[in-house]
Amino acid sequence: MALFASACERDYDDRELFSQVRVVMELPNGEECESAVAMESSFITEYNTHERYAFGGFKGNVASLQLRKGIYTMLLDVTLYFPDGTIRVARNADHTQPATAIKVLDDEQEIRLKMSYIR
Amino acid sequence: MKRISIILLCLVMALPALSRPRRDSLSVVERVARADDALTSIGEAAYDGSVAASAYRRKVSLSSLAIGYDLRREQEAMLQAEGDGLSAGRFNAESYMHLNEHSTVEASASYFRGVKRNVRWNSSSDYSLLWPYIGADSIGGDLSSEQYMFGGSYAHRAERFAYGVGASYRAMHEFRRVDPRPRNITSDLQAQLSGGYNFSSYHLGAAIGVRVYSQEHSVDYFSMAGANTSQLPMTGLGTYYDRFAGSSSDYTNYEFDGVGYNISLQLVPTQSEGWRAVVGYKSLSIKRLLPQINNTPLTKLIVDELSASVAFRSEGSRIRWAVGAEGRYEIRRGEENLLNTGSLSSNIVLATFTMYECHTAEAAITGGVEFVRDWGYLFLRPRVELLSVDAGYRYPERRMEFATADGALDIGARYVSDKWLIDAEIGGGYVVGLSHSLFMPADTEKAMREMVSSQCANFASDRLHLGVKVSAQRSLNSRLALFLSGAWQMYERNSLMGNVAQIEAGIRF
Repeated sequence: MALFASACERDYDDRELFSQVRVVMELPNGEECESAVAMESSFITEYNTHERYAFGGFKGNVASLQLRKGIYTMLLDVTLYFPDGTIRVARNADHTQPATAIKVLDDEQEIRLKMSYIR
Repeated sequence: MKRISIILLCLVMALPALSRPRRDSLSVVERVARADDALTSIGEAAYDGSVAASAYRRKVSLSSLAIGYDLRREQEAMLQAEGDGLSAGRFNAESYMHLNEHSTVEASASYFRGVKRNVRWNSSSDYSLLWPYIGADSIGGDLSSEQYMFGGSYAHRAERFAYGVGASYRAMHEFRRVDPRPRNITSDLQAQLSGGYNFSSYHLGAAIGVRVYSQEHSVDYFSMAGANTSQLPMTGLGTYYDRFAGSSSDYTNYEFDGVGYNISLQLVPTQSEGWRAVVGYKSLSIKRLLPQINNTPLTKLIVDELSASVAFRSEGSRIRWAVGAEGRYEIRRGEENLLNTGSLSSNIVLATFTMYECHTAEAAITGGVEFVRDWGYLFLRPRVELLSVDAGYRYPERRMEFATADGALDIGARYVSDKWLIDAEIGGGYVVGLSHSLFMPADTEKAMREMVSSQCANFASDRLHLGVKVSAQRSLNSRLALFLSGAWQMYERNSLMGNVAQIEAGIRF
């Protein structure tokens, strides 16, 4: 059995399957926020597996997340916190349909989302 | 299809007459007694993979025609994908014939028709070949099956060299008459070339073979109320390719296209006594395509197998014995294609990832001894077998491992007279589950969790198995005999019983 057990160890390289993704929000007029939190209405969904991921929190205009390589439709509704105490809500809905889905295929990738203020 | 089958069958049947075989001076009882005994199965693998080596399998020619009936009933299916029962009738014709001192031909034809009961989580044919990349649904039902198979080979033996060529073809049709209605048509062609060198009293040879496999898999729903379940393109350990799951014909039709090869080296004795050994490697890759969506390639299954067997058989006037060891190591890899969104009506493969991997290791030691008597022999045949399976799905991570050990003993006797040849054996053993573990994500669908859990628990469970086999043959004259045989096997695990019975009748000549 020891022989079998040692022979059965697999060598999966997860770096090949996953991509380290930086999501960068491009706010109107090049504004920079201090932090941001994605709202419940946001989603990132892989088109083939239908797996859903979360944006999590943003530091400044950037969120870092690990995604399985794939084709993603996404919607980002986000609450923005500015250094002067202002709180605003912004949205990007450019990639909610299959035709505009984003390919995430590189080991490291940056996704830039043009945001519009909705509140 | 049936017409072709009948023509081929007739050709196979006519082969002995056409080929004018060397007339055996032995009676049919003596030929059966020499061709097949309680030790034959030990080291038999060395002959199976090579037509040239198979020419040394027996000294005698023997042909048979038989009809049979198979019955399997399980209180709970050991493997849901194969159902909890089987009722099937079959016809087999086999011929092994030395035409002269140098030429040997083998031919076989078979027809099988039956019904598998309560098949679940599988709508594809050839589950044992294709798993885990099958189509599946949660409802299932009985599955009717019809299969034809033909094979033939020719081997030439010279003093120093021997070579052989052979081919076989199998066609299968499986279907169900209530929703969901799978209809699968399979064709499986194999061909082989082999050759070798004779030295001392041994034949050392090599064989190379190819295999071409295809299965058209389709599932329909006729109910006016609509589909009663979805078809799931399974991808291992309860996962499936979610995007192409559904009841639309785009998603319920698959095509499996496979191609493979095998190579092996054999050592067999030119007499019945001596060493026999084989080491072989085979590889098979099978693509799963969606024919209704421009043959979109979904997955590819790659099965690599390394096997080896070594055995020794000793002939004696009072005691004959044999001992053999065999092992097999299989790696089954599943590759999934990452497809674009198909928004321009074509699904382009953007990347391919190995998502599923299963390692199976098997090792067995078998021994056997025949105590020769004036009227036949008594025999003992013990066997110990180890099995280890380790399967994993990469993300979301799932893992299943189990290992078992099986100890078994068969005892029996053969009675031989001028007209009669009677075999009787009883056997039994116990499978011990050495270990098992299963890891699945907490959010796994309940039905999938139950399906995978039951499979792991069933195969890793302790179980008792018993069997009885009886066969009687009576000569009508020196060249022709009638035979009737029956076998029954049962297993018991966790108070659940499974029974398999077979009965067969026919002629040998």
